[in-house]
Amino acid sequence: MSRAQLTSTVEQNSAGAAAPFSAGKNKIINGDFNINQRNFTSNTTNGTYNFDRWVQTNGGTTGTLTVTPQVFTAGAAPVAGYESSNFVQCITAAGASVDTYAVYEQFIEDVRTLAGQTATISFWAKAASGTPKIALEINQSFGTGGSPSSNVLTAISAVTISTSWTRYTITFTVPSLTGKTIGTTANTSCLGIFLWLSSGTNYASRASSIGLQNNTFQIWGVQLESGSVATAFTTATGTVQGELAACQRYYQSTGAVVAWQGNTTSGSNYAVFVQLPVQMRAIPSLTITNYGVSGFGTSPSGGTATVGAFLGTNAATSTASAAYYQFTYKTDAEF
Amino acid sequence: MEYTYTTPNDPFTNEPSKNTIVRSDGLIIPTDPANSDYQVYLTSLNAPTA
Repeated sequence: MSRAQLTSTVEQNSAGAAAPFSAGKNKIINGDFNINQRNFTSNTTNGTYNFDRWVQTNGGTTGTLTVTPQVFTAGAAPVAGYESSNFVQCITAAGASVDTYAVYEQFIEDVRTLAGQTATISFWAKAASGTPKIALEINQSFGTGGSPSSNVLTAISAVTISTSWTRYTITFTVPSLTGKTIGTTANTSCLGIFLWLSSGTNYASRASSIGLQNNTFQIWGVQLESGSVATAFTTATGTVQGELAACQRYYQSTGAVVAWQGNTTSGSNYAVFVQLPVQMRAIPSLTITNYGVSGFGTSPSGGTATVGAFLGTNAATSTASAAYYQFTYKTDAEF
Repeated sequence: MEYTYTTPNDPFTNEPSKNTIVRSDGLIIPTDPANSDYQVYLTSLNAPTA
């Protein structure tokens, strides 16, 4: 019997033999929705990241998608023996037009991921009512720089979910990269995993014809792995700190207060070097927020950044011996 | 959401920065082709204005 068979879904659901851990088998980061650096409480805006690494895409003439974090009651997680804290809830509403779409997505860095291989995605899901469907589509994006190939969208198939937590699996083949050109700018290609929750007829072919669905979807334990068997769920790294670090390659909001203090000359500029705890995928966009100043302007700014550090600068407004400026920051290098 | 963009002066040289662009919501965007906000900025340069 193969290792994959030994860690079958049946065994996991029945709290059977402990699965051997294999770090890195799950290509989805934050598949258990444990990391929420943005501290989001509810999102409805198209293109907004909410749980780390997860982004919602929704629009059309009508239709909304409201994403909220939910907390498992202790003992109520869907996998016996694997307690988890959070799951995601996606509410689709008012979808009534041909151009309505509601999708929950993750972009996995590097289009080479599982290319040409058999892959299996698995997740637990439940609906508030009825038997709606969740469809899988993948998007191979070849990055930027040079003359990369155009995106390759591949509709896979849909699963019909129920009103109780159940694990669903879809096995499929990721298209080969033969004949494709990957962009020359490092770390810009990706494999998009699209979970379609509602689709007007304009997108029927991409969404496996799930149609317009107004429902409440709850999802947890998303895993994408090589092979044709859904093995026991683990996060991509297997540890809380590892998963946080994996997320921080794409977004960081540590809450740390950075401070500069010293002697100043009015009108002169000063800078503090901020080293990021994790090197990021690309040079990040910066949001710098004033935390407190004395003898400085209240708008500290970001100077030259790299994937691993940036300068937080400010201009002194007084000549003083103990002036200071303090700020917090967020760095974003998501796709 | 529609944003506008400005090029700030480098605080130390007091010349237009070659490294960053500031979006109207205050986001500081690096001129890195791998940065998705910079890609959006580049796209906006080619967008019709009327």
